[in-house]
Amino acid sequence: MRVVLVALFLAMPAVPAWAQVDFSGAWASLYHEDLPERLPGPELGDYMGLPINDAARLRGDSYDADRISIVPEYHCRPHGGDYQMRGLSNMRIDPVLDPVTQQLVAWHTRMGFQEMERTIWMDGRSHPDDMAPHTWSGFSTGTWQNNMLNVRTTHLKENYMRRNGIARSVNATFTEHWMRHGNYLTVTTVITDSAFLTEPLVRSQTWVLDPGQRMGRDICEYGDEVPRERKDYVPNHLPGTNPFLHEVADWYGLPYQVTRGGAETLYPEYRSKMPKPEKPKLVCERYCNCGAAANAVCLLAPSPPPSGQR
Amino acid sequence: MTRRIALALALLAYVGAGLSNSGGSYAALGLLDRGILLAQQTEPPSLRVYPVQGAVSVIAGAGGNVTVQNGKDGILLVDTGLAASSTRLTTEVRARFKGPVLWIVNTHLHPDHVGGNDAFAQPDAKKPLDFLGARLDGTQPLKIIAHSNVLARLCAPGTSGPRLSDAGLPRDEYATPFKDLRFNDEPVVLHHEPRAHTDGDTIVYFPRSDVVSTGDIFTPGGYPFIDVANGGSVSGEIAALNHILDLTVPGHTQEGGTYVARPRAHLRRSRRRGISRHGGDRPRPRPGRDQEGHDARAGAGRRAVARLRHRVRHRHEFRESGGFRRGDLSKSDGEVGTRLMRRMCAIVALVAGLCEGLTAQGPPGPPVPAPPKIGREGALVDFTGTWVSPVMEDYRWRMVTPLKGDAASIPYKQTVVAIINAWNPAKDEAAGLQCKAYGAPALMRIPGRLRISWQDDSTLKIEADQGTQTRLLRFTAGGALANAQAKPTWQGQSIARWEPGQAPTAGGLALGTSARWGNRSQSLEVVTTNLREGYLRKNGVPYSDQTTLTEYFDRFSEPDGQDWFTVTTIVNDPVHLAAPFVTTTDFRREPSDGKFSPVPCSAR
Repeated sequence: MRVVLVALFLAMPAVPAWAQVDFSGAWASLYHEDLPERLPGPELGDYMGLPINDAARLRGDSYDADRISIVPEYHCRPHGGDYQMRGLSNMRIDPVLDPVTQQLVAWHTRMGFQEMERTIWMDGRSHPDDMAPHTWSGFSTGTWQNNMLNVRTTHLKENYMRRNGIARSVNATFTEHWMRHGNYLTVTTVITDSAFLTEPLVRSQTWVLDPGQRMGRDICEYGDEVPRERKDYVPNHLPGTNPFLHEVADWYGLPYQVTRGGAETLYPEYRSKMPKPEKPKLVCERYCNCGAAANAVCLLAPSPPPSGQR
Repeated sequence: MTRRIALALALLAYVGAGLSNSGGSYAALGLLDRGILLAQQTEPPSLRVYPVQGAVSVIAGAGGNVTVQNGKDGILLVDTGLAASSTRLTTEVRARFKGPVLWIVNTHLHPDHVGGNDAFAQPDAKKPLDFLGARLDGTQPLKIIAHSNVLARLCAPGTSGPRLSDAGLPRDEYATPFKDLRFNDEPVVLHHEPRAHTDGDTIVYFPRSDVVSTGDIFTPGGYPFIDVANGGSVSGEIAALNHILDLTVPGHTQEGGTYVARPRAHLRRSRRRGISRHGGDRPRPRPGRDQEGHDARAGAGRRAVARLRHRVRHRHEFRESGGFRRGDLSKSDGEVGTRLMRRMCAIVALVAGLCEGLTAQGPPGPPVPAPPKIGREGALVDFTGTWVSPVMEDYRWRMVTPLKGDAASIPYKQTVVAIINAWNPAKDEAAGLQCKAYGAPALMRIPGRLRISWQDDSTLKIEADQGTQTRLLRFTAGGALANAQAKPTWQGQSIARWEPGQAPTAGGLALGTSARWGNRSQSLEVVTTNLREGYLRKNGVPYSDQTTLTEYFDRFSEPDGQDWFTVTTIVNDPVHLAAPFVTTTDFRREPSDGKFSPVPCSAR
């Protein structure tokens, strides 16, 4: 009888079963892919790897980064839900539990950048009506597929696919696939946007569990950083007038056409028909050791000023 | 006798009214005031669909009755009939009702109520493994819901319940007295009826349609069936029937609605004691007549009584053999001791987390066979086919040969700089080392196509057209290398396994019987060693022959029907890397291998 009682006592902390994988905890992003784009930021005119259409190129070409400094609406714009996993930030994931049943109701993520938060509902609720408010993070629901968490997000406000002006529209939706293997978390993000993409944009990011991490607040304050010519002025480049679009091709010795992106450029067969670079280069001069042990934070190595177009 | 009780008795005595099938014995529908009760049946010969009321219909003939609620959101099913009827049922549902099947509610675990789950849970043939329902129109994937006791019993080792696939299990279980949903502009209320027909019974109330689907709690064709072995009880059954009355019969001060005043009497008192407790207006029943009205038809009552007696006897036997009773003392010490030891072992195993079905992890999953199956036999996911990787990340390091010295994003040690700067492709060509950038740690990053197939039951073969490389992922029982002394190669030796769930607390026994996370793995884990030194990138960023490569392959499907897998690649090189180098590469399935075009390695 004592044995039984002891066993029952030990069993008392038992909680109902409720999910397949525990994602909770503090996570640090690994930037072992596209680090120069994700930390210091993408080069202007770099649309490589994006299955975009001409409308997206037009938006990208007209982009002037001064608008971040001048236009209040851009001052504190956080990443969209589809970019949060890719941007520069650490992350904390918390489960939201029903206090009575201890069932998982939602996953909640918080990023260490501009207070970005998301809730991924796991309780089977429907997505709201199309006319419901759109937000930076959108409305997310999740389902389990064995050890994979599949997330679907709708109701996004317009934002960017790349931080150099390539827009992502308000009609975009995205799915995510969260996979945990040991202390690694992989999130594959698939964005569908009929306005700016000709096929889904698929990117995957990796995180590593970082239990010692303490995330503070990251509050953005609005304020003009440079004088504004007119109150209604939005820095931009009219079509055909952006002088910086060739920089990336020149700096990295790439064909200009490749830097314009597009679905065709993504596939192996494109390599055989890739044009020759206008200004071939042999040796790396920019961000060469970004991410190495000696330059983990990706400082820009001194490089000669770009020639030509500027 | 109050109106409520009169209705209750009428309900229990109800036989064959409403609808009946000439070829079968089911009595499906009984209309009680504003409530409509759907009950179970035996096995009629063919499926028939009957509109009931509001958005609710019933399909008879699939085993247990299947209730269908259909509207703009799609289809909700209450129960799915027998597995043998599932093909006919899915055909009938898709033909007669509009929209996707998005909800299944299982009223309990019996095979004639959950048997068709698998058929509905299988992905649409046009959209395999389409977990999101393949829509961007706001609809949800199929959810199968039942009380948690149903899931627990279906997953218990040695369960007497039907064997369902993982997808067919009611994994959206609830454990509260009731649960609300909203579907097709109508609340759907699930009420758990504790220890009634079984211990996991749910009745489903559609208030707007004013219909209650009762599962096997309400059996107008005979006595209630009490499945004692699965937690049913007579008192719970009576309570459940009273609850149905509460839901369906208006109170005497209420006009037409489903509001129910506090019950003034319950069946339990009159039925079990044979004494009226319902007030002076009810005549005291005559002895021996209390069951009158419950014997539905000639023979039916006798069958029901026999069944009930069998169940009671079964319970009695169970208690005799399963409990520690005073009578045990008359047995020999050895006999008692053996039984006690067995029980203690069971308890200890349970406490120690060794009892897989109960303590292994997460929501109770299907019993995990031991030892785990390996290779093709144990495959949880099919990776075979031809796959292409659209290059949407690391473009200028993958689609073109990077500039000399460009090692961005790689956590290399400072000592490697000299090696990187010494890269000379002509020298590699001269030495016959054109394939240095095509080794396993880099192969997945090279733009190209993969053809994956089973070479044999324990070897998964990955052929890459770029560099004409072949990787062999070997599944072995012990995870040992085929030949640890073999000469290192570009592709090394790869040991594969289907990734197990997360183990209990490392270094010790898991305390208690808490459920655990991570039991439902579907990933392919590959560890590769015995690698020849090569390049992580074509421009000479090196990895050494001390490298261990760990990969995880995870497959998923997208709403547009495309199949993808992501491979997480972890390169651990103590010689050249300051930290593991982790990349993830995404591959999309191609309809054919027509574009798979092998080309030799190139150093440039």
